[in-house]
Amino acid sequence: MNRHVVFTVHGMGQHTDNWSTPGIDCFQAVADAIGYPKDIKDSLEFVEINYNHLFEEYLAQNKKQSESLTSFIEKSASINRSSFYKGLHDYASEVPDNDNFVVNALGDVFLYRATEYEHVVTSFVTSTIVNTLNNMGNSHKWSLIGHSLGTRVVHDAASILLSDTQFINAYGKPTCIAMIANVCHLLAYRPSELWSKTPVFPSDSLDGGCFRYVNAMHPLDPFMWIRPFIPTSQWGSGASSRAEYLNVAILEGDLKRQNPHSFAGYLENPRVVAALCQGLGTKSRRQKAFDRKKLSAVIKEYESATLTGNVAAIRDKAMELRERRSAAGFREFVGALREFEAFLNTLGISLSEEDK
Amino acid sequence: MTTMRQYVLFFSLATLYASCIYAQEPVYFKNCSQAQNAENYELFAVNFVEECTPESNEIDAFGDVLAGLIGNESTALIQDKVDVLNALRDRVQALNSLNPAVPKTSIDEFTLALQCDILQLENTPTEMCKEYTATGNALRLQKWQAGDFSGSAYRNIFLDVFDATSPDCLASAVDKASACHATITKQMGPILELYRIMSKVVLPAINKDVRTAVADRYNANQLRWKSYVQETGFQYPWELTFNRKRNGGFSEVALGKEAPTQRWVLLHPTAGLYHSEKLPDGDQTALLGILKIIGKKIWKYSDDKKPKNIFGISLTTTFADLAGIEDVGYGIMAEYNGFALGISRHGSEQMLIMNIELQNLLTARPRSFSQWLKGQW
Repeated sequence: MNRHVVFTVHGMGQHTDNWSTPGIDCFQAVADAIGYPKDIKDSLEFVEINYNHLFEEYLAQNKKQSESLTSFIEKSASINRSSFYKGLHDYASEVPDNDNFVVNALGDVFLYRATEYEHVVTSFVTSTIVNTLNNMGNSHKWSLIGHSLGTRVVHDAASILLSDTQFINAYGKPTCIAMIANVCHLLAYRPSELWSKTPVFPSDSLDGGCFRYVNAMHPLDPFMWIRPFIPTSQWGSGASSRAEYLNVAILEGDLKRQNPHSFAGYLENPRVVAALCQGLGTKSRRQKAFDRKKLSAVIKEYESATLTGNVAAIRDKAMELRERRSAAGFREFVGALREFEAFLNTLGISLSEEDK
Repeated sequence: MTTMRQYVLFFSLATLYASCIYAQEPVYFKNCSQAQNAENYELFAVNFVEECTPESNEIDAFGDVLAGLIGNESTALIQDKVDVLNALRDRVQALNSLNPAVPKTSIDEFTLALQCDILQLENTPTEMCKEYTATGNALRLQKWQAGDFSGSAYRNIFLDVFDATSPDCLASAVDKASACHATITKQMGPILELYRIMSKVVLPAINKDVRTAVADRYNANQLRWKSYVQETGFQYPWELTFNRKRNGGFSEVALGKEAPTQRWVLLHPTAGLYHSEKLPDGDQTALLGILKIIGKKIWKYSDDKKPKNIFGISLTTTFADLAGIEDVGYGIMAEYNGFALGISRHGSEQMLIMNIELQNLLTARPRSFSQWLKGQW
């Protein structure tokens, strides 16, 4: 049987091979639990696209250039007399620190959106997609999942491929484009063109670039605050009602980790996984992507493990104690506090410490 | 000889196929347990096209021959391809006459696709067909590839139409004794069989060359972009931004641009050497700082997608510790494949300047002249 090829594209910062494995493992576990009818291991083939090396190669070039200048600056007195040249040379001879957030994360965003590295990255991503689909043989369904900066990379790569008739003829359009922590709109120079001039929107007809589009944005994800992705006024509310545009309603309390921007954090959320299962599709139109009862149960279990869920549990214990006013009740309350402390420790927080 | 053999094989199998079509009992679902065990008839159809691999299905063999002929790279076999498509069209029309219940729209769609592809192969597309083939000269049959099962061809032409003609059958459980089974088997079978031949056998053969061409195009572009940033000299971030602005700008729509064959150099600090016979002994050659104020590089790409013959010219300002003359000078610098040579005037003194790479080249002891020219020593 032909497997459905799902490409995953990472966001900003350093990413090694298998960066997506924790997230995909979460997705698989939750998808099984909510009753996704496909056997994920047999039917889906996850293929990581890692473009991080392109930025690292640039930093290595930069380092080499810097080192050649450093020796000169150390010997030259004339540079010190010319502040403009000194400034440029000082900058140019500074070896970038790849462990620095500004260099390795925001630097990626700058290189991608403000320089020709956008073309370097998109040409790498598009050729990887084409080669993978070729190597896997004919007639594969395929989909794209992007995370953070990767959502913009996916958007651009899809825009290139889906504007290419020869490509569409040979490979068809993707079943699903899933944007996890979608920053497409945030990173747009002219947002109106984002909606109107690219083929990256969901539609069953020939004009749309994919069959389904999943958008997942956590309300506490800081990258979502400035300019969230809200395309319905442009794509039409019909896109939602036809289940082509699947906008996940993530709650503020849906948080099991400190970092609300985490890829795995999104993919352990059953609401996101349910939408992704719908996006990736089932064998037929009548087959449901998940079992509603199972989904409700999994959401309940998930919520009990979130910060909000734990706070609610301890509040319930306190309320109970107020009712009973007994020593046994107090012991239970202390027990609940200990459990809460243990939970906070999993987040790297302590109940007894001040916020830093 | 090969062509003759293909003809003989083709017509034998075509005859066999026609006999299957006209047989009383349809053979379409023979040896297909996965479809037979499907939950409902929609999954039955999906399994049939996606997964069924009948052990002895004459129609598959027919499809293989079609694929062999259509996928053959030789242009001399264009007529064979036309013949094959003509034969296929006849089969579709025969199906139509055999099963009048099959919705006419699907047959019309298929026949039109075949007709247009025949004309396309004969290089005589009609106005109507041009509408289909205007973009990328693609064959209309491409529409029939099995991509997503919510894809328009499959859904609009098969499922929706069958839903309309046999209400509730697609949703009902697979039951050989049911009226739906007879309807589905009789009406959907031939269509599904053709769909499978098209999507699993014929189209992959047609697509083989297309896919290779697409991959070649994307791989070549990727190699050029990569070698552009790696081999035309280091660019500082402001240069990369300036060059993006000059080369297509900050479009919101990714265009899949071809890698450039020229770029600007802007405020590019580097180190080099100066040489002047007029300076005192010991000071005649020494390090100096070079700032390429503005310049341009041009090149071509070789067959291996790497830049070759990279020429460049830049206006420069230079600064060095010079006894008795201006420390800051102005000049011009020419480059070839990373080696740069120029002149710079410091006050009344004119001096030769070069980059470190050229200095290394001049002082190196290469193993061979050709390696020396390539900067390998």
